[in-house]
Amino acid sequence: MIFFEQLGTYFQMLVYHVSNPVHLAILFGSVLLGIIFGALPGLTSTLGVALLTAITYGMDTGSAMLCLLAIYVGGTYGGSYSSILINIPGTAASAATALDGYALALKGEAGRAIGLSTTSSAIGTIISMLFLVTVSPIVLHFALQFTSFEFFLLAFFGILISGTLTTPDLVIKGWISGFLGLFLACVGRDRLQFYPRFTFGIPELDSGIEVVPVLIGAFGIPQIIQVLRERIQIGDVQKTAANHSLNSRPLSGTSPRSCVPP
Amino acid sequence: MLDKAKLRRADIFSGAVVFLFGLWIVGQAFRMPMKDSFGGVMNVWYVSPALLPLFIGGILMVLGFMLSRAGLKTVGFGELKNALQWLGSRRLLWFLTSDGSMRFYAVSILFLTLVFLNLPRIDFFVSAVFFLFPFITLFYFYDDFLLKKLLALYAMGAAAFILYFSLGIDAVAASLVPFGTDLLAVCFLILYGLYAWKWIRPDPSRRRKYRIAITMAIVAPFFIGVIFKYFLMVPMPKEGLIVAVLDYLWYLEFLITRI
Repeated sequence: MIFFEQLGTYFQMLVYHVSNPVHLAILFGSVLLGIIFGALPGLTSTLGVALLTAITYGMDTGSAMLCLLAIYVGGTYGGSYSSILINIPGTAASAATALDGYALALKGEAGRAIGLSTTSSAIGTIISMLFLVTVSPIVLHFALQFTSFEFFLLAFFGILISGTLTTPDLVIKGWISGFLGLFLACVGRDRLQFYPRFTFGIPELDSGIEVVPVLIGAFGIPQIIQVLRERIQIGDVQKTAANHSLNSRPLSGTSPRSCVPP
Repeated sequence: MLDKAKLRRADIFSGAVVFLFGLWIVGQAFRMPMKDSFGGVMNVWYVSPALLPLFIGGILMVLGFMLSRAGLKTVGFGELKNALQWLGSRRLLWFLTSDGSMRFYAVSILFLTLVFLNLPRIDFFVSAVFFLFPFITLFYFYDDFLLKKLLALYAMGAAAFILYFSLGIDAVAASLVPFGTDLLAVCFLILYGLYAWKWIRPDPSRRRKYRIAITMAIVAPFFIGVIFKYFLMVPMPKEGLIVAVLDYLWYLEFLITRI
């Protein structure tokens, strides 16, 4: 019964907001701003919400919430642009997009990758919103049962699975990457005893290392170094590891068209 | 991608590095409180801050060992011997001084000086131009000879700035001249620009690239920096000479002085 009540309220609010042209204008404008923020590496959707809160001061509560949510959603989606086009995830959520999206862009199919990313983001957002309004009261009970042991096992499982699935070579390398990531998460003050772990006396490290700088360091900087070291022309389709992992067909031409199978 | 044999050979060394890194993590973890008292509270082992690092370090040691073992099993000890011989040969020196390596040094030096030297100490806008102008000029001309020349000057400038800050001359300069460090950085930029101009002047296409480099290096930080500083109210990492001038113009301080 609660399920249908929640769903009814959700659709009622949805129709209310969509029928208001001002709300629609706010929605489109905010999503656009969010996409711009997300597409710029280093500027996350959360930062976008924080910085653009100032523009909601003159709005009523409903419009302001709509605006901030749209910025957040747009920002999370916008990260996929830089992931696909320059292999630098704009946000943490788009780190996985870089794995396949950039490889597609190198094959001259960046438009297709962006289209796929847009479609899947839209479908994902709609499904997650429906789940949020309907299933969240039930999920709440399960979520509260999660303690340190479950979180540890979840992280361990995630590392093993992602390491196994993503590495193109030996699975050990994927696991090593995962545990190196877990090590980076250790940096900072311990939650229980507040003991500084691997901070080397640097106060800035006490709060730990943020995800976005790590992502830019892990994806962006090596990409810049590789492009400049090997004199890769931006925009040209290159023969890289990414091509090999997706398609064993050799890519010799410099034009994107030369890489599309006949 | 490297071929399989090369990859496995590299894996031997990567595995050894990962093993040593894991060992270092375990070593550091043993220095953390286990069951002892920290902050006046007696603890039990399962709330120790060392527990997770010990686990991670141990796993990394095992995985590093497995990676090296997999590499050794594939290429054998003979290949390892060859690789070690290469490390001690003249070919290593050629590799370290190759054009690709020089480009790698250039990127590394530029990033390191931006993050650790300039941004925390020099006005944000000057730091940004100090980074972008050499960055663009080093790589945009597609000339390794020019890259080496310009990199040498930039590296000398960076070394001079390291000495300048480490010897505490910046404090003396600040007491003598307002924004002394920022002015010095601007002077170095002008010197760098003149030096680069000397090399590219005979070639019209390079002169065009040089103009683009200067324009982009100045316009980009001002466009983004001004938006963040004055519209989004985000303070700059270091506010000095240029921010003072911009504040003067933005807040119409010259009018206030007249009034």
